Amino acid sequence: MIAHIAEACFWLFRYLERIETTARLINMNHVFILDGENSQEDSWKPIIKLNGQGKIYEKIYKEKGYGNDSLACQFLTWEEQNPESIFNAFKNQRENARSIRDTISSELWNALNGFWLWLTLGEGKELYNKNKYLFYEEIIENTNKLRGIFYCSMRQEEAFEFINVGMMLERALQTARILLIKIEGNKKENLHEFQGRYWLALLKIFCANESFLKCPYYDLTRESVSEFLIFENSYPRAILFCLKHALISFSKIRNYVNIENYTKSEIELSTLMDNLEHCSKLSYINAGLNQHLKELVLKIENICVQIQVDFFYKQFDELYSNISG
Amino acid sequence: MVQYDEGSVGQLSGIFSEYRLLENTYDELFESSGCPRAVVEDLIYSLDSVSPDQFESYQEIANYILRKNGTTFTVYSEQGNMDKIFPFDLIPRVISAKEWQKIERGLIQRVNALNIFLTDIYGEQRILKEKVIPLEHVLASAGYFESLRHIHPLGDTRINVAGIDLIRRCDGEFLVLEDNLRVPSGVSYVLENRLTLKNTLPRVFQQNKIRSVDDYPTKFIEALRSLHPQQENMAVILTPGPYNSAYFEHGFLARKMGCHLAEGNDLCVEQDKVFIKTTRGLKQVDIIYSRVNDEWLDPEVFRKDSLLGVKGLVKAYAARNVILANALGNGVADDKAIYPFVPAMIRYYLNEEPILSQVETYLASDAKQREYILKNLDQLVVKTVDAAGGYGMLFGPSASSVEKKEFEEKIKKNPRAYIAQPIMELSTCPTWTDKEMKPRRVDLRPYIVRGKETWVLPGGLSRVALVEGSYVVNSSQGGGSKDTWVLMDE
Repeated sequence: MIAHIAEACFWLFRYLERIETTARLINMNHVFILDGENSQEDSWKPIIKLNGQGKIYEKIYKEKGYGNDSLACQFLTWEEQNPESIFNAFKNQRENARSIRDTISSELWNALNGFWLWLTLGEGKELYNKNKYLFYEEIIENTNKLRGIFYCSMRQEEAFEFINVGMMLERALQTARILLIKIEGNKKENLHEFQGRYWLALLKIFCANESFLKCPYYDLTRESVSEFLIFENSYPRAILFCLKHALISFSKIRNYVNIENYTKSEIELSTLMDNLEHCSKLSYINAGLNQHLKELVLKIENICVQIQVDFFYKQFDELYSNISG
Repeated sequence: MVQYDEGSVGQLSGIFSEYRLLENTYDELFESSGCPRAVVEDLIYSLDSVSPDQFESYQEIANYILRKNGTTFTVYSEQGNMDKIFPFDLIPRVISAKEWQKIERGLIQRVNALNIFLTDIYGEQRILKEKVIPLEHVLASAGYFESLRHIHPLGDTRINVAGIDLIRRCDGEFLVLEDNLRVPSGVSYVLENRLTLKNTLPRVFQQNKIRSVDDYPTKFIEALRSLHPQQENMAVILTPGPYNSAYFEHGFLARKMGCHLAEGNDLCVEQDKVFIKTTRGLKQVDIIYSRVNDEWLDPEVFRKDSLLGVKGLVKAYAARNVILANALGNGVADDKAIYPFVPAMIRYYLNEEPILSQVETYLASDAKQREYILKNLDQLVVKTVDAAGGYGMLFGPSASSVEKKEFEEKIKKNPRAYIAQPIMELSTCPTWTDKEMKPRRVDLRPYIVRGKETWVLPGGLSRVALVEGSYVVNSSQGGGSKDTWVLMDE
């Protein structure tokens, strides 16, 4: 397929993942703060900084600090200067979809566009002002709907796999980043009872609380929750699951594209996955988990860049140089 | 301030401006002077700043959230209209940290004594031998099963979860009205009400420091698992099925506790062990949280016609191969005719004075007391000892003479089945009903969870008698509910 179309596919659901994660984080944060478990500032600051938007926030709201939930929600949802706001992620996603309307199914486009109109023509804003919880729930439901339409209305060939690779890698990134800030934000001196609620709230961000509790061998501790979110093979937001499924899509793409050699990005992904799969879970979690997660984020980010190089740009540079040489 | 009669209402000018207190009744949020109680002063003023129209729209949002989450219950008699949302209003019922401390201690004490009582009754029967409670009286209870005597349940705990109904007297003191030691229901509404209130009025919630209720399901499953000798164990919730009025709750708890939700047919007993039928074959079950009443649980031992139970379950339980929560035969301890003896149990088993008082009760089985009951029917509430859900009751002051006559006959015919209590002026709480703020009577059902340790969910279910002047709070009888706040210690 045309390289820039493949690139647009790769990005399409990366935005979707970000939108959903932001909505889930905000809803869960509200509920958790209301229980007086954390101060406003302790809760919102790491979320605003999650995707590196702290500087922009500070520039816009200068001295107002991080302790104001209205500002935080405004910034994360509507702020046009914040490239990661739900509004902007949506805008990018729709622009992206518009450029590949002939590639994605009409059903997917219609649903995506309908969602955009809901957000921008007043209805969404009205619900936001009336009740924030329902607003974010609506967003979460719509992201799920879009994924459902995607799975059920498109032929599973190259475009499909590029969308899937983007979605899975972005999801792995989001899981790793959130796990990292929640581990850093957890004050260990707090009571056992608080700890249970804290980790339960983290699981709820990934809608993983019910799945987690169904595994009797896990308990609500930092170790078990980390293990679940990193290693649980059966859970679609666990990092290892996402990497595996990205890799499956990769191998299909290799077949479609008909390249004999593995691309650099595929090799990097496969190595990363192997290392994760065969490491000692216990020492991974108990010794330097923060550092491991930071490295993981970096490596996945690098793979995403390498994909651009392997599929969307580099080949042409080489081809051009070959021709002109 | 709020007044008794028509007139000016001081500084309250929003939704509370028309609120009128009932005479000789404790109001949960207002002093008898009409001023907000100190601990809720900020709450009242912040709620009052909302206009009635605005508040009504919040109420609509709350109802929408409940309906969307499927927080419903089923009413037996209303065929065709299976699911109803449990009416919920946004005005919380608030309990101070200090008040709660006493309630919590009192509940733990009471449930501990009741637990020992059950062990004793199904064992040595010391309390009967020493004549603290009359023997015939206990053995005549419909909740007592001689066939269960000398069975020592695995985990050695008979009450795993209790719901003790409390009411508040006009002087502000909490009294125990009823014990529920078999299948106390309603806890899912506590969690859903909280979530709904938080998401509808986050600002109001934020201004107060309120103890969390969200971890009830994890606390409960931890408590059950702590009683089993194996570290890894399989727990299931046993439900009578989708036609049960509390089916929503069974599924809710299964999800939140991470258990299978099984019906009787999903389980079987082989060689005194319980198994669940799965796609991968039979898997042994170690813990059953049963929401099926005892008499339906095992057709081999109890009702032969039961399709809800599991054949052989009692044998597996007796062989200590499975934990049943709550244990079998608990009905003898929450029998309304045993209730008057609970203070004596506390003194006998724990050598302590009861921390929580309870309502004066007349036993129809006692000749003198029966005479008193029959003479004073129009001033008493008569209750059937083994009925629940507000069924089998006679409310003297409002009963017709035909109804009274009918109960008189019944009491004479089977005195052990009836008790009577004076009418208690249940406390009121401001309640948003028909677009107005009205005083409505409330009770409180806290939940006590017992594993290796005992834990009380801070708060519980505040049920509301929505009909004007009514004292009946049961959901099956037109009751509603409220979020219950226990404030953190300052």
